[in-house]
Amino acid sequence: MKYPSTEFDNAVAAVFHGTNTAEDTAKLRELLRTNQDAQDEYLWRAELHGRLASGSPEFSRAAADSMNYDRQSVEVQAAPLSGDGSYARWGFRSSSALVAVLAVVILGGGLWMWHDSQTGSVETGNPNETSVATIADLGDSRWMDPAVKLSAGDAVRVGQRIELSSGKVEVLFNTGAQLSIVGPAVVEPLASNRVFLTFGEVNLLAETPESKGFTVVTPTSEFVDISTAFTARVSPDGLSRLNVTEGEVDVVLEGTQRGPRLRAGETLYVEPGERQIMTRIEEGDGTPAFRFPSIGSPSADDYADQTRGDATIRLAQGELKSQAGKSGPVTVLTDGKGQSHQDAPSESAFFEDSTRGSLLIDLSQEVSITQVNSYSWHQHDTNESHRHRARQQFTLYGHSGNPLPDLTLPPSESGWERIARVNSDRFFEVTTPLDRPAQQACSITAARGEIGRYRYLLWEVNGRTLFGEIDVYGSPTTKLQR
Amino acid sequence: MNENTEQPRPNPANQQEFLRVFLANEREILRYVVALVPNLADAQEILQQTAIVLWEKFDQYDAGRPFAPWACRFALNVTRQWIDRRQRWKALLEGGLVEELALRREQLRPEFDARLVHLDQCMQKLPEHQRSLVDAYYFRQQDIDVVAGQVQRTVEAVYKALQRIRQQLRECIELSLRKEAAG
Repeated sequence: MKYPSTEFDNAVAAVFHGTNTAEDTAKLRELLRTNQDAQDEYLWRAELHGRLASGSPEFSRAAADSMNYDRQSVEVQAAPLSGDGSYARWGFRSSSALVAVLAVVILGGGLWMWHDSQTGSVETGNPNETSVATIADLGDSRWMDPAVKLSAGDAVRVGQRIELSSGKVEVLFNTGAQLSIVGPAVVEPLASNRVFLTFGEVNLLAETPESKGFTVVTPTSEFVDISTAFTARVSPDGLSRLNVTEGEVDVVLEGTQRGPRLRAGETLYVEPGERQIMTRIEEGDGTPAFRFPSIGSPSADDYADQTRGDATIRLAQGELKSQAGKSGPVTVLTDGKGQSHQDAPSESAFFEDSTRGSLLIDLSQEVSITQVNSYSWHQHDTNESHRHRARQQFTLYGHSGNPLPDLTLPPSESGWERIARVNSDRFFEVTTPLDRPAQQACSITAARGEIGRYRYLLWEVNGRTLFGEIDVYGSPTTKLQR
Repeated sequence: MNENTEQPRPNPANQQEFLRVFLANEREILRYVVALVPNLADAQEILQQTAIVLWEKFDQYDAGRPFAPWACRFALNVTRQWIDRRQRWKALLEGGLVEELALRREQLRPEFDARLVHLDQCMQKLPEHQRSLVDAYYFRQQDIDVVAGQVQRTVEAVYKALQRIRQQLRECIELSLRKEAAG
């Protein structure tokens, strides 16, 4: 590769876009190592690219000058993008990194407490923008900025960020869509039928023809209303949750034209990150057949099933319950079937009381994994409310190959890639024991088909759930065209 | 470990201070990462991971010194780990090239900043359809398939258009610099 040359131009652009071939990469690398001018030009192009991605310098200064601290979602320019009333803007939305920061604050135990002491401003939107909605009801809401004075009947404009500290605000869109914002939440109307939910919860009711197609955009997904009502929630760490209460909703994920369509009663989680990991959790029919609305039953046809002889499962950390009502061996999790009845400890694998542990599956080679299902079932024979061991609460990690990370270290510090976090109690919004389904299945998939390429899978399990089966679907990467 | 064990609650004043300085410097850290790993989706992920590390290390931060250079040291570490785990980046940047680029960028930054003063006015000169593409790809960070669908072009054509836009901006900036130098 020479510099300057069209080949150089194209190779640099391909690196920016993630479309570079191995051959281009090798040539570009050699050039960057040996030609200072080429390296400087590469850096200049990357600088411009980065500046575009992070907003203009003028914008940065204006934002810094005008705010208590450097808030990041100001508009500096408006130009029509499309015919639907949305507007092109040149700025910088710091949602993804911001939510990560908030996540660590919360993981440290300070759940939302920072909001109470926040002094941040609220974007008031461009007064020249069209009003797309009005505040219908404020209830006992509190704003993040105490100086905000909004009243019922006030107009809401495109770009006007609504930052709610607590309580609930009802917003009526001109299209007839009714959006209920539950604090703490940050919501910004993008167009007449479209809002961005940075974090928090919104409940949508879209009953008028004009409100059909109302879209809630989150950091990971777009939830498009087909009819009629849904709840969208974004955790501070970027995990998006969709729960359809009436009708149907299309989920549009980055990198896909259209994702799954969810129907009333269905719920989906979408993890932040490039792989668009989706988690479904469903209640079973409570029979040994383990039938679920959309998740398949426990299977012997998966890659990790012990009859294939390709995978092994073992305890990585912790101890299985070994006293009265003791756990079965971990191999029951790959025997192709769930438990035969609702309280079958010997057909389940579970940890000692009040402990946590981890389970390791070695697939013996790198596998392109497309789906991971886990099944649990527990209800005391006589005490109906005693079903807490059906809860699935775990984090799934993957590792692509040798050496196996040190299992005594926390997975997040030893090279494991986090795939998904599951908490079925939160999913089912369990507040009383009977809210918790006694038989549960969790299915982890990816919008683009492949969850990842791993040899090892690690379940870091919290609690003493009676797992009955784990199924891992995929194909060895040696059989795939890489 | 007991399931009910609670983690220590962090100091709210510390949280607020961290949020303040992080948000004030987030763009700069992102630009630093993009210079090393210029794929935007990857850079955002690295930025997220860096944010978490920075929060964990925030008690070591000396408030009397600028935040961004301190933060970029951690960003470089996170970037190294990211590169190690991804063959595409490893093939381009392993063997010390990422550190070399980071160092060289620091040397060139005054020059880059002088050039980028002209970026806003050059953006204004772009035709509307090109600014819309910049908005969709850079600000909204929409997936390229979605952008392609909106403008009814192929993904390859959109990538090519973005490449042309950046070239036009560079040319415009060069022209502005020359005019500036000519007085």
